[in-house]
Amino acid sequence: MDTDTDTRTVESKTADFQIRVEAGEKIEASDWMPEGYRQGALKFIEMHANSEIMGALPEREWIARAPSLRRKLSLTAKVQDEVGHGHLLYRIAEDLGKPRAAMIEDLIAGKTKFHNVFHYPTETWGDVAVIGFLIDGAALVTQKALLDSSYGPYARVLKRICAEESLHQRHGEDLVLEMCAGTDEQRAMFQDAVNRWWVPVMHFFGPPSKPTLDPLLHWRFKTATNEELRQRFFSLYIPKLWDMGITVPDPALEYDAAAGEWAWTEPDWEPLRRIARGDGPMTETRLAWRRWIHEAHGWVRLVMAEPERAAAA
Amino acid sequence: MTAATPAPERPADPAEGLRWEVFGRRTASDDWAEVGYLHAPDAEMALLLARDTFFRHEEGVDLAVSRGPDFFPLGQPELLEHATDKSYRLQRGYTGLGAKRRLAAARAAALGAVVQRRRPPDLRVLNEDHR
Repeated sequence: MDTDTDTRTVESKTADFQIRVEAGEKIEASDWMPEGYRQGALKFIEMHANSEIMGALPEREWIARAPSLRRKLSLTAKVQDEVGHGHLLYRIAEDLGKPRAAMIEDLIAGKTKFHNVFHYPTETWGDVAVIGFLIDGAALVTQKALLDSSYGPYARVLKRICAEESLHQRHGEDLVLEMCAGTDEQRAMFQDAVNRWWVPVMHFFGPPSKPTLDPLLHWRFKTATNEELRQRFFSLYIPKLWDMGITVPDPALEYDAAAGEWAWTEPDWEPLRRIARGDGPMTETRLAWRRWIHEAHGWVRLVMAEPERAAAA
Repeated sequence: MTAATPAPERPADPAEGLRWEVFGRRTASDDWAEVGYLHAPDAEMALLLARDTFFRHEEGVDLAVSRGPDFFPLGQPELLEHATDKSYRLQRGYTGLGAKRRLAAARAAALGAVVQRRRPPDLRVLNEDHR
């Protein structure tokens, strides 16, 4: 619905928009915005929301298998938080013009994407530790950078999400420390999980990007490049792994003081491209789960939306 | 249903339910502040969903849902309290990480497994910012 009474040309409005974002102003859902910004922001936030919902599935598989009641409770609470983030984010995406029901439909039809790390199996309790520590850590690094996003509603909702993610991150580190201070078998289990997850975590940040080619960076929707985020992640997490005697499968990984950054080896990006095409190791299984949950819980939506019809049914 | 009974209010989009604004009070001395919105068929269900969606981590001492001029406070603060220990939902549920780090590092040192590769000089600032 276009209620815009501003009769200036799109070029002129776009130029003003650019000045606003460069001055650090926040863009609101009701403000005029270039179509490229709206579409880019919608796609980005929708994928974030999808990832929260889909990210609940690999961890959920471990709730029943968690080694103690306390771990079961904390993992359940974390999964509940992630689903809550999905809920908060779909609302933000919805205001950019796509109904929530359409976003859910597109997700389960495999038409829209979710983060690469949720296309992999979780084989052992060590995987739960890797997700809680390294993957939540990677997500926290990227989300903290988005707190400065030019899109106001997203930046605001991320404040709450980051507070909860930082709790998850503590939960993850607690898990990792327990395993690394434990038996040889526990340490080996965590090391094995780190070995398997290293490349997917590098993929999570994406290839080193060319800032000039990313419209979301241009519009200050994003404020850091893929490489800046990966470097931040290395500085925060690699020394912690090394102190625990955990190695990562990249012989080149080391801080280069002269360059002021970490040296690392680019992985083969083909598995990431395969996931982007909807052909990851667990893509079909997880989408089938999501589809089944959606259908099996249809009655809940009916009760919530139309209680009289649900009672008559 | 008699003619005098008003028809139940229908949501604009039947798939969504009615929209309720959610308010919370951080502490007893704070005013109501909006925290978000949700969809629910009636005030009772909206209050229940608001509690589980927005108030799981001690975000406030009271909550309310509202539609237009109608304002429904929870009215029972004890519904925001937990019958059992739910500290795993809070930062304070994961204390003593420093001591645990030292324990894991000692174990790695005993195994001669600590990785000695070049690291950035001082991470304290970055770590502070990350918490």
